[in-house]
Amino acid sequence: MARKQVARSLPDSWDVEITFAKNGVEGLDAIRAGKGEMTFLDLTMPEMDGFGVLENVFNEGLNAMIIVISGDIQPEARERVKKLGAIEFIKKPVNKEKLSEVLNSYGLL
Amino acid sequence: MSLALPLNEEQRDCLQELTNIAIGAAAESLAELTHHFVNLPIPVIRFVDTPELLSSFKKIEITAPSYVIKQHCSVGDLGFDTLVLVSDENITHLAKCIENESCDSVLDDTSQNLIVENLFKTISNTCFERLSEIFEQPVVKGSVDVVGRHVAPATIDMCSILDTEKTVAVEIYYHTEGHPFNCHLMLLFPESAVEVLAGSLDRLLH
Repeated sequence: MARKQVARSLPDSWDVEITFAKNGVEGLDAIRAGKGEMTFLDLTMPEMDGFGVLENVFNEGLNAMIIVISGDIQPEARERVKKLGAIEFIKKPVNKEKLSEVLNSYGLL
Repeated sequence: MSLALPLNEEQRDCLQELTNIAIGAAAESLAELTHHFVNLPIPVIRFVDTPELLSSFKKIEITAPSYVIKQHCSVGDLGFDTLVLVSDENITHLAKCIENESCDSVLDDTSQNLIVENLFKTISNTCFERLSEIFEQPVVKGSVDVVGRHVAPATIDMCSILDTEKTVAVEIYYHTEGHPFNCHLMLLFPESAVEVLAGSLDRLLH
């Protein structure tokens, strides 16, 4: 549901190809395959959590701009993801307006 | 043993997602209370025979003396119970967290009761607030009942406590990073509430 909600919240006019991943391992594989130039990442996932994905992306120097979208709103969670290279942290539930605002602020629209 | 969940896949995903949001907010409150980062696993959702409720979740120490606290509440027309389970040992761990490790003395019953009450309110109130926001319905809370004090969870008659033979249970195991404290939060929907639950989830989905 979270994946669909994020997809529905993307700007309608944004010309992108969307890849969904069910867990952190699939997500990391997709990023390695070049499908994650812009990645929206949950922290609470099976197989590998969001922190694990961020660590691997960072360590492998993979090409991915990562925005974390999570229900884990502990201040330390936000700090950790930023230290691991995430460009932004959005609290769930996400909506179209918030997502557009963030994408605009990074010149991605 | 888990039974077939009486929700379709979309409804189940929706329940997992909204509880993920609610328990994430509760984790923030718990982190403030414990002064430690709280590890947040994926909520476990099961449909179980109520007598087997507590034994169906592997991380619950079924024989360890524990406190079990329950509160009935409703969000709109959706009624459910919230249960927090914390072992006596973890109450001591929690006391040390709260007092920043300066608590060395043995806790008396009054102190334990206060700590447990504080823990329950910290977790559950935040959880209720978020569920209320998500469903856009007011939350009505019943009284807080201590249904077990220094008892092994295996000995608790959950059927008489929850008054239902089958339960949709959402279980979250909270544990602090770098510190042994852990506890369990459960959101429990009786079989009679499943239809309302499914309808509420469908409204969120569509």
